[in-house]
Amino acid sequence: MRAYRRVCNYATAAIKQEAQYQIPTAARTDKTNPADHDHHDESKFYTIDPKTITSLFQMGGLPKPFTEQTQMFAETALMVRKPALEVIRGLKLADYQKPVIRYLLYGQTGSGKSLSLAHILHYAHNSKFILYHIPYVPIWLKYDRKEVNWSTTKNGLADIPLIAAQWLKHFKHQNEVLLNELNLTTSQDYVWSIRETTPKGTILNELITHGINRAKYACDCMDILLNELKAHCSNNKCKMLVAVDGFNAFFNEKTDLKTEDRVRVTPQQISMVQTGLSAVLSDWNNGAVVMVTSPRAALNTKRESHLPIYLCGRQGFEHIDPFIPVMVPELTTTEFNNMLDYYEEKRWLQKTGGRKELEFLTSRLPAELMARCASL
Amino acid sequence: MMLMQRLFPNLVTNKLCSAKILTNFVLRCTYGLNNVGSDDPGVEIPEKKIVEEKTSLAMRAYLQRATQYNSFMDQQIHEYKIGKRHLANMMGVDPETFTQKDIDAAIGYLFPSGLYDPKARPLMRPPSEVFPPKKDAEFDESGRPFHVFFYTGKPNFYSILHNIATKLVELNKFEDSLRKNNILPDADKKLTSFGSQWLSKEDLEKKTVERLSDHEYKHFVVAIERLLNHACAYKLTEFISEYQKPMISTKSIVESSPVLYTKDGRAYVTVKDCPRKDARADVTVYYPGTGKLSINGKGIEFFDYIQAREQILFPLLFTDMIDKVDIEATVSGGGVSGKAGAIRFGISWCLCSFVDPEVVERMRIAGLLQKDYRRRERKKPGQARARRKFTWKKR
Repeated sequence: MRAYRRVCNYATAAIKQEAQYQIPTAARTDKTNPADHDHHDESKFYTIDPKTITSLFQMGGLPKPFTEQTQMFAETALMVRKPALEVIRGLKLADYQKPVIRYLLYGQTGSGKSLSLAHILHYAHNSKFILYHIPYVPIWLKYDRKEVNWSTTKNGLADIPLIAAQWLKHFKHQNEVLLNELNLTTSQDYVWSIRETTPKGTILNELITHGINRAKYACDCMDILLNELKAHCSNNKCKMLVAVDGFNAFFNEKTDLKTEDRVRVTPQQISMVQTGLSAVLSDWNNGAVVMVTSPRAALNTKRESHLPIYLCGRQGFEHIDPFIPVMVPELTTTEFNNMLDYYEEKRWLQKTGGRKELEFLTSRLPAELMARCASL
Repeated sequence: MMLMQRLFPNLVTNKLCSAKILTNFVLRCTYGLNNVGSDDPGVEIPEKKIVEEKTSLAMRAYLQRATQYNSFMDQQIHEYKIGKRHLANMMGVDPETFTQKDIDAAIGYLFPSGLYDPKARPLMRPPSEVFPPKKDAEFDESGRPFHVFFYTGKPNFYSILHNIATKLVELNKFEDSLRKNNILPDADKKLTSFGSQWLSKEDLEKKTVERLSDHEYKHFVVAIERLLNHACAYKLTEFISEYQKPMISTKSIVESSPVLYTKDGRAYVTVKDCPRKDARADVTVYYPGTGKLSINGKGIEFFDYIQAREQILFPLLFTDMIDKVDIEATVSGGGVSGKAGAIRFGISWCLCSFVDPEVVERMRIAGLLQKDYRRRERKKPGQARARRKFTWKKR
């Protein structure tokens, strides 16, 4: 670059821009409810109100760089893109008396899978789905700083009690209002210990609170909660959306985790993973499953391709088969230009131009573009 | 001899009407130059005619040195000839037809050397090339110098300066005479130094057979440039050109690769084995295109680092061809920056076939067409890395 500037005989500092130029405005849609979005809104931005953001993504769900950017821009604007619309349309048109339909979002790193999932979650939240949302699987399995114990109830499986309690908090935060409204209860007695039992007919909120307070039982609580919800859904009492980001991490060869007796555990040996895997099974109805596979969730030795069969492996593929694959591609030219218009509107980019270079350098991947347009 | 011939007619024709003293000087001066640096073996110094008794101390010392030098050179030449015959026999070739080229090849074969500098490798050359020539006698048998500038210590050099100065005076006079007749010197005929450069210090030293200091060489350049910039310098083109040599053309001919065509009529150029560090790349550029890029089957995501991506971008941006060509590259070996550099090199050379010659020239100046010869520097014992030293600790 420097050589180029030298040859062209100008320096960065010397470029004089017109002080007054028309600040472009990004194309936006007024429809704040994702249920109303259709193909006319494609490649346009819609704003999620801060209340929904706090209730949905308070404890994870949006990628961190994106969250930082939303703080900078003082608004959360998502681009309406085709893959999310496709899934939302599928959710609208599905026959809920049949076993759940499974959708799998896949695509290159940084192509916007997680944000598409966020869009879908917003739709599901507005449409009164109970969200069984796992924000990002690898944070369960990475970083050996966690307390890992052998499970007392399930033989050969390991619990991560604190993480499970945290997840229960997340679940409660997302669904508290809806659960209170629906007034769902437990269908049988659960005996945790001699002194602690949850009798039949307890509302689910209480069950969750117990799991949070007694982290020891959090993993079991997760499992029980899933089974209860599945049963309720099948009895047509509620609808549920299972959303798993970084799904392929369930089928990684290893984790960073070690139990107290210094045994390395594989993902399959963790009770939370088993719960997650049973959540995506289609043995229930009145709901839907959306999964996201991502090369970043895989071990760093296994990131050559972004295709699901490569990332999940044969075993994982068979576990979720049949499913509807939804490819999340890079931005189209319209989307790309609108994205840059948005950055210029927000004065995030101070100067116009250089779009060809950005397009070449980022190959139109939105996350790459975000990184390139941000400060160093 | 030749120098004299060159100088003499010039001076005489131009200066027939000049003062007597100058004519006188010229004759004496050329007499001195006559013997200088004569490389013609036919011309022998008339040392044998000199009667020993009459000779001065200086002459005797010179004669002693000259005979010593000559016998030494004879010896060397004799040895060279013998050595050449031996070498020819060793190589099983006829000694009579054994040329210098064959000698070099034989030496290279018999004494293979890994030394980096060619000067440090073994060689066998005629002694006249190896040993520097000595000046011939600069004074007669009575010890009286031939050259008027003998006592400057560097007579040939100072006579050049002197010639320049006299010619400058001459030109001034000529210009005055022109102006008297209301004629201005022709501006179109004015000389420029374009396309040529002055003899280097080494060349000048060879020409004068005298060792020159940097300061003296600077003096020479100042003087000759002053002469060149004179409005009437066109009269002395021949004289000035003696001290010029043509500039070596820095503009190497950029030969672009042949353009081939696909079945559907798109032009493409392939450049193979583009090097950078340990990486090698084969690059094909299709024109016209839409800006597609494929590196080993992947897009620009092949490179994680922005620096590497910018390397790929640079030639395209420079020629403004980002969305006008398609690129296919396969690269292997080396690391990230090596791979990126190799592809950049390939793209640049491919693009040469599709852009204007002016752009190619700009690309060359920007260094896009220059192979990067730099390699990894080796680690040294006793040091942490190539250059980095261990932390110094007193004890």
